Amino acid sequence: MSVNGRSVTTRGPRPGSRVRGWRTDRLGWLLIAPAAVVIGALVLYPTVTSLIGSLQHYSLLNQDRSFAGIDNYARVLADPAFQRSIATTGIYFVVISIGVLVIGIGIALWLQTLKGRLRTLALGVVIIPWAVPGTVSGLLWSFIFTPTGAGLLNSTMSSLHLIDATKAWLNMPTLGPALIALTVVWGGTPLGVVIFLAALESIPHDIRDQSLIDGAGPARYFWSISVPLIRPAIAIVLLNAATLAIGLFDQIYVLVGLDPSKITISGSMYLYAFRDFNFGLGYAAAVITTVITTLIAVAYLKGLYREVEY
Amino acid sequence: MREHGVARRRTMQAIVGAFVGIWSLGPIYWAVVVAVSRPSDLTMSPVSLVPRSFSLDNFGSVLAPSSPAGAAFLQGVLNSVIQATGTTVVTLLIALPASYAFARVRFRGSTPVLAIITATIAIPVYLVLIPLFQLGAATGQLNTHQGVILVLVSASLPLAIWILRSHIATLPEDIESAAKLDRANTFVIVRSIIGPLIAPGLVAVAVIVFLAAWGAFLIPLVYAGTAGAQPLTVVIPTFATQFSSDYGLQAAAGLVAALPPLLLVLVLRRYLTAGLILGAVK
Repeated sequence: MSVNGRSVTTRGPRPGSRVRGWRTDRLGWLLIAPAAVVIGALVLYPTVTSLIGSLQHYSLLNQDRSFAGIDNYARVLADPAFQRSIATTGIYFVVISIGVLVIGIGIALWLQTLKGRLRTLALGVVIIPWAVPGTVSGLLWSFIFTPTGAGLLNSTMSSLHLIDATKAWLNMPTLGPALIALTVVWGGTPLGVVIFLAALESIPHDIRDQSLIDGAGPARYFWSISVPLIRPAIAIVLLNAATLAIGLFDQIYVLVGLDPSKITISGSMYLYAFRDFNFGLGYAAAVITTVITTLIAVAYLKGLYREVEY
Repeated sequence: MREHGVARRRTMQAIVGAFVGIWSLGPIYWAVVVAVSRPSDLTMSPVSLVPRSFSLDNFGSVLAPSSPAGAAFLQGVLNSVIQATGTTVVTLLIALPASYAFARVRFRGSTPVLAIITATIAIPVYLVLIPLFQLGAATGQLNTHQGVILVLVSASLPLAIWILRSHIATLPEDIESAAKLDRANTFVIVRSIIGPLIAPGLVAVAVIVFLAAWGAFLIPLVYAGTAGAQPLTVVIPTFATQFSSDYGLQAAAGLVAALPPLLLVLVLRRYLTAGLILGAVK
């Protein structure tokens, strides 16, 4: 993720820079040509197409390709299914943000107490869920949430006499999306741990020593010293969590299928475009989703991400 | 008193460690239990967290070309290997020269172009999916390996360029000056001087790109949804409906599909954590 633009490079007018001339230009453009073509054709062109397409009527089911103005946006925003997906995305957003933040910092603090080989080993275990593809992690968790007695959650709960009959956990109104979000927390936490650990480790030792001499306990040290100093890391992790929540698709697809009550706003793009074959509405939903994501990113970066000086 | 405190800290450390272990490995462990157990074992009460029986039959039928599940699964393995490897190789081949140019060659236009490429890291896949689908349909690239690979390359290229450029920018410029005095070709410089020096960065990028391509779902679902180009991520959800109550078979399929990325992460973890931080924080 690029946050502060580019890092510092020494570039600029140098003696003889005029002589370099077109040979340097040609070399530079030659080297970046393949990358420029791929990104131009498969990232920039589709982005512009989406923006323009969202202002057009475009359904594969009829011939109407006329200018729509904001009609697609109005229809998407007024669609009860889309409004529902906003509420569902909200649940994913809250659970994934809190989950990745709390569990990520918790595990990072725990790793800090370990030394040497033990820490390397523990970090190896912690990072494992990150390697599991989203669809597979949905599948792994499905054996826990299975609605029959074969599911681990059902069999454990009934063995402990906490439930009388097996439950279809994922079909429950709020708990269902929250449990789906939990599977995403599982896969998303390792990146958070790595980022938090790096941030915690970069706090200079003398700050820690001084605060201990001043009589600050571990809790005081954490809230007054660590948290303010790792604020940029918190911003990055929350931003990543928001991206995971809004873009969530794979785990939902495997766990409950394209259930309209479980999809995110980005998933509603998929339904408009590839179930209803209405590309105009799909474009509008995708643009709305991107705008929401951007607003959240800007809020996090303005509110939390500031360079820290020791 | 002091020793007592140390002992208490050790205990806390171990308890938290147990929770971390269960959280990280629990879902994988339970899938192993499901895969090796008889179906009837799973519904027996009270629940048993260790397998009551042990059989590798499910892994056998997932990996047997003659069984219906195995045929589809092995085709998926092959497709995933082709697409993930292809994406990784093509991404590196395109990203390395571009990164070198942005870090070292002072050509006109480099600053705005780099800014645009960096900004595209933030463009989400769902924004470009419909046009990419139309583009693929118009050019006959749907349900082909090269179609999927090209789209996956475009998705990982901006981040790859960003990470590699930061690596090259940290190298002292003197390194290349000797070669330049010998009038060495730029491609020779990149291949034989820059390449080896940023090897850790290249490995990190390769792993990140491979994992992203191996785990990609939405792109191949739209791009390779019907014919024989489906990767494992697309094949596996069809197992859940096709063999809906055969949890053991599904679990075996999921575990085998997760094995290549797991091994990769465990073996190359050292490169990965540094690369992850570069990718996420910079």
